[in-house]
Amino acid sequence: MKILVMKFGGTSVDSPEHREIAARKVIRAKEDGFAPVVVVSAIGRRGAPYATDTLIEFLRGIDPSVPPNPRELDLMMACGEIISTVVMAHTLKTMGYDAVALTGGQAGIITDNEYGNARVLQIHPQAIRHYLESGKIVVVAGFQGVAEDKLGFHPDITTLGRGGSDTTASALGAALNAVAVEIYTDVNGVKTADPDIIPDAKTLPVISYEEVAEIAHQGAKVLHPRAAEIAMLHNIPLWVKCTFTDEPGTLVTSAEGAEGVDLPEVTGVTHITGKIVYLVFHIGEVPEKPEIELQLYRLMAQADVNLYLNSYSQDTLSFAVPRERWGTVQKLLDGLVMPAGNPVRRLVIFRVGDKPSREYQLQKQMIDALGNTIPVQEIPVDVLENCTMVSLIAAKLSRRPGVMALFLRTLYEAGIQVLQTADSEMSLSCLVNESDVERAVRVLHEQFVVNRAYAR
Amino acid sequence: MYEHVPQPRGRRFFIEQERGVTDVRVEVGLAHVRVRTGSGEEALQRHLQVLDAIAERGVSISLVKLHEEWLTFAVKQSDVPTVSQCLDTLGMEYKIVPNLALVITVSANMRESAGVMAQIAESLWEAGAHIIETGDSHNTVQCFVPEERAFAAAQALRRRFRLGEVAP
Repeated sequence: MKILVMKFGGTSVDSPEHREIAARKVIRAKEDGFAPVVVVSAIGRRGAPYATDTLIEFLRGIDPSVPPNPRELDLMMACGEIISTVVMAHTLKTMGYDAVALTGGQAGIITDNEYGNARVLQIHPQAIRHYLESGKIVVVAGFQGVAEDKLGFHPDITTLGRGGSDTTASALGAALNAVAVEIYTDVNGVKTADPDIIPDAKTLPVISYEEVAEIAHQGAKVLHPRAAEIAMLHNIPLWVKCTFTDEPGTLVTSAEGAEGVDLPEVTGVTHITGKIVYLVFHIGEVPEKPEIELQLYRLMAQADVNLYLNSYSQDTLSFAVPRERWGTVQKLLDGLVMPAGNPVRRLVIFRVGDKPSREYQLQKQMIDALGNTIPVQEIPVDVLENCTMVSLIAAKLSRRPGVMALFLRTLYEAGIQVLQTADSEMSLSCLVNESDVERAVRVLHEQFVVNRAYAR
Repeated sequence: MYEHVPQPRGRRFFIEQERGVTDVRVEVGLAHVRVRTGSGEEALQRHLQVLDAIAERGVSISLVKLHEEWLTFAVKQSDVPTVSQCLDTLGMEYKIVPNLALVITVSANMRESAGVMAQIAESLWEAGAHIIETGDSHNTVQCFVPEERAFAAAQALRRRFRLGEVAP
């Protein structure tokens, strides 16, 4: 039995016409001799009656001041995919093909009990295999599973977090030893850049698991990195295809699996859509600098703030925080007084931004009132708001001599201010002002993807 | 269209990898280079001048960072004489810190894991490994520390994240 997992996202199942197009692809696979396992997302996006966000808003709307219990929220969110599953199975039935709808739990997907972001632990695929062997098309609700049963009760429904339906498809592909997993979306494969910025961005015919995971982590929305990581772990060929065309799409495979096909030297240019705030702490060349840095990291950890682009110099510490957490970070830092040294040798006070805030002034007055008993040092914090990251994904190039120079020259010559850089085996990234993002993507794409200037 | 390669599967089958920190690695034999590039337009030209000159000599660099008045990067210890000669030729003011190591902490999704940096910094502090520079990607945090403290730092990290011991 050649099992083929086919996943359709929300926009592929959001109208009877789109569902029919998706169903015809499933039927064609069945007619070609495959045993299709279809994974569907909830129908439509925010505002659509059964979309996940709509269901969340409905629950939260009862009383916005009372957060829903995570267990009940998962139960609510899982409904969107279950509705979509039943609708798709029935659509197939109306087209003359026997299909069965399964929830994640009925499909045997077992997760840990982290509601809202559960990890797939195991899959018991017996039910799916049973239905496939009886000739049915199996339609599974994406984005969900059931928690491991520890108390002997019927297990709770869990959801898998962002990109959950992609994760379901890859996980089922691994558990069922599928010949391939096909992820259907509204673009015709993995592009060399966001087509909203570069309308003629190329579709990559083949890409490695590592590269697709990297572009997904660096902002591309075509496939969730967890799905790529599961496929990589179990060596399942993954395709990204368009629901609405018959174009071949992009094959995601291991570098070895791309025999006879050269993986590109440059995969593409990505950007993060969310804004980030970059902070530079002017701590100074003081003996307590490592201790102050450690205290700052602890403070951010206690506030549950993720940090990016950490960087040290002799007298500064820098890092970026997500824009949506900036309010919390600013409140924590501005006017914060911290003892430094053991025993305490000085007090430091953080001043955030150019103008001293009221909070800072109040704190400063209080510690000034301590007189000369202990030295007080001010730590100015530069704030660069509304930044974002643009990355060049180039696994074969990022460490090649001269590529970082070309990367920076391209940006400098376009008059783009580079606030910081980051590099890894897979990519080169820069932090730029949000107003420069589109231009940065364009010039890097032109230089590295279109002109292949690094090859000269 | 697709070839089917049957593989045996057990009843229980673990699908996703563990979350959180999964490995700690050490890379030795590195040096950290700090070049004074000044500020403003002049700095941009000097960044390119330095990076071009080093690339022309075939030296691979990593952990490139832009600081107020300074450009910093890492090179292999064996490339230090070439880099020094290159920067001398350019007449640059610079400082090279030799005998460093990268202690690399690997996690499935570092940028969505609040608190990992604090745990890394605490472990390195306890191991007496002063951080000279850091770099991060979505699945790693790389800390540049003196080579002599690198394995102690790695052991401290492995203890902290409950991983197996690392052989020096």
